[in-house]
Amino acid sequence: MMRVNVVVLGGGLVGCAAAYYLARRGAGVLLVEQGDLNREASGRNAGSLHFQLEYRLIRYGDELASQFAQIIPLSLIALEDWRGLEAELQTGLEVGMHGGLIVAESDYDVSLLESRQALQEKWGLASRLLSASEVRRIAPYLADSVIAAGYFPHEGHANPRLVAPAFARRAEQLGAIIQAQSRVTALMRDGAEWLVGLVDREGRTREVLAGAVLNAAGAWAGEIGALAHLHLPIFAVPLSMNVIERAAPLIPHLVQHASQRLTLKQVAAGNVLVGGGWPSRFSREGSTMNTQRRAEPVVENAVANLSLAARLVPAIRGLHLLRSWTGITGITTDQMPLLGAVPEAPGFFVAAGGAAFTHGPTYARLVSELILDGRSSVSIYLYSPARFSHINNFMASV
Amino acid sequence: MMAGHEQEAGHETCEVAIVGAGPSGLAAAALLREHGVAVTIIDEQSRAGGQILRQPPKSFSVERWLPARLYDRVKAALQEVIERQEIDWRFQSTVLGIMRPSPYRTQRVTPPPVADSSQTTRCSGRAGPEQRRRDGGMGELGVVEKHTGFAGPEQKHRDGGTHELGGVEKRTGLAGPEQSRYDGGMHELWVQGPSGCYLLRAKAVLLAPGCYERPLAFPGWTLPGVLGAGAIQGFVKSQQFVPGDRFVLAGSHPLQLVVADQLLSAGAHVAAVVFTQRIQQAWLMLRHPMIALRQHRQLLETAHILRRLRRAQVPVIFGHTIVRAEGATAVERAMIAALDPSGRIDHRKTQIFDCDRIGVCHGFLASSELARQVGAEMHWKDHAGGWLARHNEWLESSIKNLFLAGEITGVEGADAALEKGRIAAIGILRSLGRVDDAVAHRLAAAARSRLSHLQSFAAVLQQLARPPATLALQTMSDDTLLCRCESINCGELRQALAENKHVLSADAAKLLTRAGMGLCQGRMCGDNVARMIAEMRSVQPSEVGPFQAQAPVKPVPLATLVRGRCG
Amino acid sequence: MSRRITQGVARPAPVSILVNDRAIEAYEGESILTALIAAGVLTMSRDSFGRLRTPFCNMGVCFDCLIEVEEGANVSSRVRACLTPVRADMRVVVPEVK
Ligand SMILES: Cc1cc2nc3c(=O)[nH]c(=O)nc-3n(C[C@H](O)[C@H](O)[C@H](O)COP(=O)(O)OP(=O)(O)OC[C@H]3O[C@@H](n4cnc5c(N)ncnc54)[C@H](O)[C@@H]3O)c2cc1C
Ligand SMILES: Cc1cc2nc3c(=O)[nH]c(=O)nc-3n(C[C@H](O)[C@H](O)[C@H](O)COP(=O)(O)OP(=O)(O)OC[C@H]3O[C@@H](n4cnc5c(N)ncnc54)[C@H](O)[C@@H]3O)c2cc1C
Ligand code: FES
Repeated sequence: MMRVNVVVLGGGLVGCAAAYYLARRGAGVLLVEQGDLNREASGRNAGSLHFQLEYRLIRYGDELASQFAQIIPLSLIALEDWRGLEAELQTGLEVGMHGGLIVAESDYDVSLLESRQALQEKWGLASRLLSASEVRRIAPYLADSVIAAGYFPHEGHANPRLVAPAFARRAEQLGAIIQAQSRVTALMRDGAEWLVGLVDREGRTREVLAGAVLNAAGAWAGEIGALAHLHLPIFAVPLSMNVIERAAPLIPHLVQHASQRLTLKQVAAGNVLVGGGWPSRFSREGSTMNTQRRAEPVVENAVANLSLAARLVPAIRGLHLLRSWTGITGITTDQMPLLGAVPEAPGFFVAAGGAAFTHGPTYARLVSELILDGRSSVSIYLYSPARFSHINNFMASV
Repeated sequence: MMAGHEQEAGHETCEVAIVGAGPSGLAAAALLREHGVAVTIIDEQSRAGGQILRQPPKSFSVERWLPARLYDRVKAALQEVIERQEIDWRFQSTVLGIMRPSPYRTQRVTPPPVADSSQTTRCSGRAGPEQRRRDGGMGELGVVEKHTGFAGPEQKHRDGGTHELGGVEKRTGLAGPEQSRYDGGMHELWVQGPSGCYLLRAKAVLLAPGCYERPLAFPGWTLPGVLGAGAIQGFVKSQQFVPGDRFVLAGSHPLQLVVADQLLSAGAHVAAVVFTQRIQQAWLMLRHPMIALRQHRQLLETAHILRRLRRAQVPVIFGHTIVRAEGATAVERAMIAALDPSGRIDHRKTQIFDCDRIGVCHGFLASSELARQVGAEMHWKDHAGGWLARHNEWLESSIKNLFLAGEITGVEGADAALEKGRIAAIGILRSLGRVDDAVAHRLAAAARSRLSHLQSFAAVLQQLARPPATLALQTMSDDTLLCRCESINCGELRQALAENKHVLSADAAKLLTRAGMGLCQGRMCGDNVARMIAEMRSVQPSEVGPFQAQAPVKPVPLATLVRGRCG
Repeated sequence: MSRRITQGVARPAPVSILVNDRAIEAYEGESILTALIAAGVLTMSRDSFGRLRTPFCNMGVCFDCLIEVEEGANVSSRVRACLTPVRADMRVVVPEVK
C-alpha cells in the first residue's frame, strides 16, 4: 500500500498550491483530483485579487461587516504572497496589480464606501476615497454616473487559467504525485494515520495511507468532511461569469460597484471579464439539487450583469459577449474561510471557502506550515475550523 | 440607486420552435402545419433553404437557379412551405441558447388579459411583482438590483417589422399562452433578433441547425483567398457571384466536383480539383453497388460533371493533398503533394498551381453546439460529423421535447435531412398528443423506409469521402496557425501538452492555451485540437471530448444584448 | 478578379456604399461580404495581435468577416458581413491594408 505524509484532496488552486508548499519542504505528497486539475472554481473564477472588502461582506449591515472585516489581515498577507508568486513559480501568471476601484453612483453607495473605508482603516488596509474628479482623472473610461470610488492601489487580477497549473507543475518537479481523474471515496482513521480510498478513471479502487489529509475540495469540502463523519458548514453556490472579446487596453483597474454585484477587469489578452457574484442555477434531479453537475446559466442574470458593466464602462458596448460560463464555489456559514485543523479529527486539515483565488496561495502556504510544523508562521486562528467544534463535538470519534 | 430601467419580463410562448430553415426544418414545418400545429422557424440567414439551397436575395431574380436535378427534392420542399402563409418566420435571428425556464419566473395560472386578439404573437404571463427579484435583505434601504425584462410586446412589433422584409413569409395564428404552472418540459430559447435579444418559450423544440465545413489547418490556410469549398459555392448559388478568378479545389469530399462544375458554368477558371483518394478508391466510390443501384441519379450527375471538367481541361488529380497556400498578401499559388498508399504525405512529390482562390473540402462537422449546451447526450462518429446528438426512434434527444433533425444526427445529405425532418415532426405530434402511437408509426413508415435507404448510401459515402486519418496531423506543422481567433500555433498546443501531462480533454487544453476561446468559439479549431490531443495521448478523439458549449453559442454584441435596458 | 454573374440574373438598381472612405457599387440584398470581395477587399478585421483576418466559411461560423457598419447618424454595430445584407448608404469600416 502506498504511504505518504500528506494526501491533498482536490486539485484546484488550493490543492495544487498546497502540494507545492508541502513538497517544497520535502514532504511526500499525493494530490487526488476527481476530474482534471483546475477545472472547477479555480479555473472558472473571475481572477480578481480582492483586498478591499467585497460587496458580499458589506451588504448585510455594519454589524456583520465589522465581523467579516476580520478577513483583512489575511488579505494583507495574500497581497505580499501575490507580489512574489511569479518569481516563486518562475513563470508568468499575468498578475497585474494596478489598483482597484469600488465605484459609487448614489449617496447610498457613498455611505457604503464610507463605512467600508472606516473598517479597512481600522484593520490596516490603506485604501482611500476618491472624489468624482479624482475618479475621472485615473479612470476616464468610467461613466459620468460615477460620483466617488473607494480606491486601493494594489488590487488587481491574475489569470486563473495559469496559476493552479503552474503550482502543479512545480509540485511535480519537487516530487509530489498528482493523480487526476480519481475520486476520493473513503476516509478512515487507521491508528495514527488516515486511510484514503480512491476510485480511478478505470474504476479501480486503491488505498493510500497518510499521516495527514488536507481537504481542499472547495465547494465540495463538506462532502469530503462527511467521508470522515464530520460536519463542515460550507455550502456550494453556483455563480456565473462573462467574457467579452478582446479590445485595446482601456481598463487597468479592477472595477467593482459599491452596492451591486459587479467585478470588471481587462486581462492581459485584452478581453474584458465581467462577473461579481450573479447566480447561475443547480440542475434538479427529482427533489434534490445536483451540486456536482455544471450549474446552468440564467440568462436574465447574465444580461443584468452585463447591463451594469456596459452602463459603467460605456466603451464596451460595441464589443461582443464571447461566452458566459458557470462555476461553483463554497461559502461558509459565517463567510470566513475554513482554514486549519479540525480538532476533533487529528490529522484532518481543511483549507476551503472564501475568495480563494485571492487567498488560495496563502491558505495553502499557511496550512502546509501548520501540517508540517504544528503551527503556522502567522496566526490563522480566526479562520480555524475549531470555531465549529460545538458541532463536531457530536460527530467525530465515532 | 440610479434611475432604474425596470421592465417587466415578457414571456413569449410558441408551440413548436424550429431552429434552422434548412431541408430538415422545412420538411418538419410542412408536416406540422398540415396537422394544425403552430410553428415558429428561426434562422440566422435572411431566407429559407439552408446550406444546400442558399436562396438568392429577395431583391434578385435568377432565371435558372440551381438547375441540377440533385436539388429537385429540396426545392420542392421549400416550395411547399413557402406557400404556407401561417408560419412565424424569424430570419436574421440567432438562437443563442436553449435554457430551462427559471423556477422564479413560473407562469401564473390565470393568464393576464391580452389586448390584441389573434394576428400577432402574444406575450403570455408578464412578470408580476413577485417575479421582480429583490436582492438580499436590505429592503428598507432600497438596494434593489433591477434587472430582468426581456423584450416586451413593443420589442416584438419591432421584430415583426423586419420580418415583413421577408415578403411572402408572413406570420399569423400562433398558439395561445402556455398555462403550465411549472413549465414542465418547456424550453426557453434565447434569441438574438434583428432588434434585440429575447426569450421564447416553446412546448417543443426541433433542432435542425445543419453542419459546417470541417477546416483543415495547413501552412497558409489563413491567407486571404483560402475558403471552404462550400463557402465558394455559397457565393455562386446565393449571391450569383464568382468570388475569384482562378480556383483550386482540394480535399476529399465529392462536393468539390459539384462546386468545380458550378464555377465552370459561371465562367470561372478551375486550375485543378485535387482528391486525397487514390484513383482506385475513387472508382470504388463510383462503382460501389450501393451507389450504383440506389443512387444512380447521383452517379449519373457525377459522370456528367467529370465529363464537363474533362472537356474544360480541368485536371482532376487523385492521391494528392493540399500542403501549402502561398502568396505575398493573398493566395497566389497552391502547393499539393502526393499521398502514399498509407496516407503519408510525400513532400518530394509536389506540384504547384497558380490560383487566386483555394477551396478546401474535407467533409463536415455537425453544428452540435446547441445540443451540447443544453446537455443532450452526444456521441462521436468520425466522418459522420464528429459530435452528434443521440436520439430515439422519433428523433427525440435525451431531453424531453427536444427533437433533432438533419445533419445534427449524422451528416447524411439533404434528402436524408428531409426525411428526418418528417419523422421528427411526427414525433412532435405524438409528444404533443396530436396523434397516438399507432397513427404516428403509420405516418412515419414511408419516411423511415426512404431514410434507411438514404442512410445506407450515406454510410458508404462517409467512408469513401474521408481523408486519410492522419492527414490533419501531418499538415499541422508547428508553425501552422491552429486557432485563427486567438492566433495560437499548432506548436504551442503541442508544447503545452508536453509540459502539462494531466491535460487530457479539449477543455483543459483550451484553458491552458486559449485555443478555442475566440469569436468562433472553437468551431474552426475544435476538431483539430481534439485530434492533436488524441494523437499525443494515444486515445480516441471521442475520449478527448468537444469544447464545452455554453450559451450564448455565438458571440453577441453587448449593445444588442442589453438593448432596452441600458442607455 | 471576382465578378458578379449577370447572365440570367436581374439585380435591383445599384447603390453606393462606403468602404472606409471609398465609395463602391453594390446591390441591395446581396451580402456585404459579396460587395467587399467584389471591390477587392479580402481582409475584414484585425485581431489584437494586428494580424489581418480573412473570411473562411461564408455562413456565419468563423466570425472572420466581422466588420463595423455605420448607418444613419452614428449608429455603428459590428456584424458578420456574410450574413448582413447591403443597404444603401451604409458605411463599412475595414482595416486599411498598406
Ligand atoms: C464564477 C466564480 C468567480 C469567482 N471569482 C473570484 C475572484 O474573482 N476572486 C477570488 O478570490 N475568488 C473568486 N471566486 C472564488 C474562488 O474561485 C474559489 O474560492 C477558489 O477557486 C477555490 O479554490 P479551491 O481549490 O478551494 O476549489 P476548487 O477549485 O473548486 O477545487 C476543488 C477541487 O476538488 C475536487 N473534488 C471535489 N470532491 C472531490 C473528491 N471526492 N475527490 C477528489 N476530488 C474532489 C473538485 O473536482 C475540484 O477540482 C470565484 C468563484 C466562482 C465560481
Ligand atoms: C457550406 C455548405 C455547402 C453545402 N452544399 C451542399 C450541396 O451543394 N449539396 C448537398 O447535397 N449538400 C450540401 N451541403 C450539405 C447540406 O448542408 C445538407 O445536405 C443539408 O443542407 C442539410 O440540411 P439541414 O436541414 O440539416 O441543415 P442546413 O441546410 O444546414 O440548415 C440549417 C440552418 O440552421 C441555421 N442555424 C444553425 N444554427 C443556428 C442558430 N444557432 N440560430 C439560428 N439559426 C441557426 C443555419 O443558418 C441554416 O440555415 C452543404 C453544407 C455546407 C455546410
Ligand atoms: S465568413 Fe465566416 S462568419 Fe462570415
